[in-house]
Amino acid sequence: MRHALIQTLLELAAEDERILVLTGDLGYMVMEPFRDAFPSRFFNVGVAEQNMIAVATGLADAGFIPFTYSIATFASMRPFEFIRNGPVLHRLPVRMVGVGAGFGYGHAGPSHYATEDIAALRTLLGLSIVVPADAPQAVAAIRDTWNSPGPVYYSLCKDAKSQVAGLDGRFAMGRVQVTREGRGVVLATMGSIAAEVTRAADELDRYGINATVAIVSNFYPDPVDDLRVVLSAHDHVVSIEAQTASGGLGALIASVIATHRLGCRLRPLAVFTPHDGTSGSQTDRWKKHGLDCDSIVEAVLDAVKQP
Amino acid sequence: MFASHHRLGNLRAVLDCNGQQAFGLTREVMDPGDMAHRWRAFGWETDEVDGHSMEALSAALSAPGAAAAPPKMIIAHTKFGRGVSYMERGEPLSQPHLARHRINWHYLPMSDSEFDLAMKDLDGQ
Repeated sequence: MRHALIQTLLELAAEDERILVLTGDLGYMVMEPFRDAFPSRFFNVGVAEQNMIAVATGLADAGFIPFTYSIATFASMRPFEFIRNGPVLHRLPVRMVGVGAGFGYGHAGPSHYATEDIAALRTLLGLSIVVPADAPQAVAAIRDTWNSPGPVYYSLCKDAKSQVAGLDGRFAMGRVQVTREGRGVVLATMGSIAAEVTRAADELDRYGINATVAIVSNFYPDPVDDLRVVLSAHDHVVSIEAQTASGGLGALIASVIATHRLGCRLRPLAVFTPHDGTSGSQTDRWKKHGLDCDSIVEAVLDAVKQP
Repeated sequence: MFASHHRLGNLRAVLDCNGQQAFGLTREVMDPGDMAHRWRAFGWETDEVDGHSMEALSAALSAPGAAAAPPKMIIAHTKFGRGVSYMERGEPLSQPHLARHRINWHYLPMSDSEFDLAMKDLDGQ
């Protein structure tokens, strides 16, 4: 997704000179094509994420469309109050890109695990959050939102090459994308773990369960209407996300079910236990937190047994 | 500022100063200028040493501190990739499928032959 981002920004920047890129000294071997094509529109601000957001806020106020870039934890939580008091309170078109969503930087350890960024940023009303499930959807999402009036946070995975079957690069703000039509149970997910969820749905066929897969790719506006429709059509929903259980997709679904008195039963799969200081590959981390294909299948089989 | 304000004279900190950032040399990315001067401006004492010299580091760390005195920053000048020949020379990994970025070895796995060379360099020291 990082390379898809840079390629898309190269194309957009050639058409619109308001587009700038700022990095907090990250993106080595990724950002160079933009730097080389637009040297006067590329700023490495150093390891200074708060200042990066402050500078971007000023640039946006001056009429530019700045994209800031860092690893998701440093892009979102370190400058959290700067995001709030800058582009959010001033309603300015700053685009904040965080890479390594979820456990994308698995081997780098917990300091690099972006498992709270979406939950934290969802509290900032007025900030749109975009969480693409694969590279084609990331491209569509950037093209759909780069010129929107308010601030946007993009949670991008690092290197996922797999594409989500049935998604076909579809994206629309405030909407849910259904990639697999089933009945009885819906697997609701966001981010690059969607490929793992799709594998689980295929695996569930062997158990006679034909699951729907629904992909949520954005918050604010939260896709409440689409979720209501999807949830109302199923008895069970299992939400799957590489994000803390409080404040992410599962929390949104719980809120929709409770607020609209839906009969759909929720089984949230998310990060429920604190990081313990160990590290491992993304797949290893998914397994550790019960988010890998086998764990999803097991959770669905158990969930549908409940009345 | 906190440490100097409270005169934490028994506090030592070590700054590994290798002049390298993720995207390039520190002086090219965001030049902090004279690092010792910066720390002294915040009320710290400074000691500049060869960060690869155990004797120099040990001496700087073991020098007696005083209560109610300025804290001390030990600025340890180091070389990025020290001890591995191709890293010290700023040469990229030579695997044909990798782009030849100068410090790609900082980010990417080395091949078996690059590993063997690195170990040979380190064993020879």
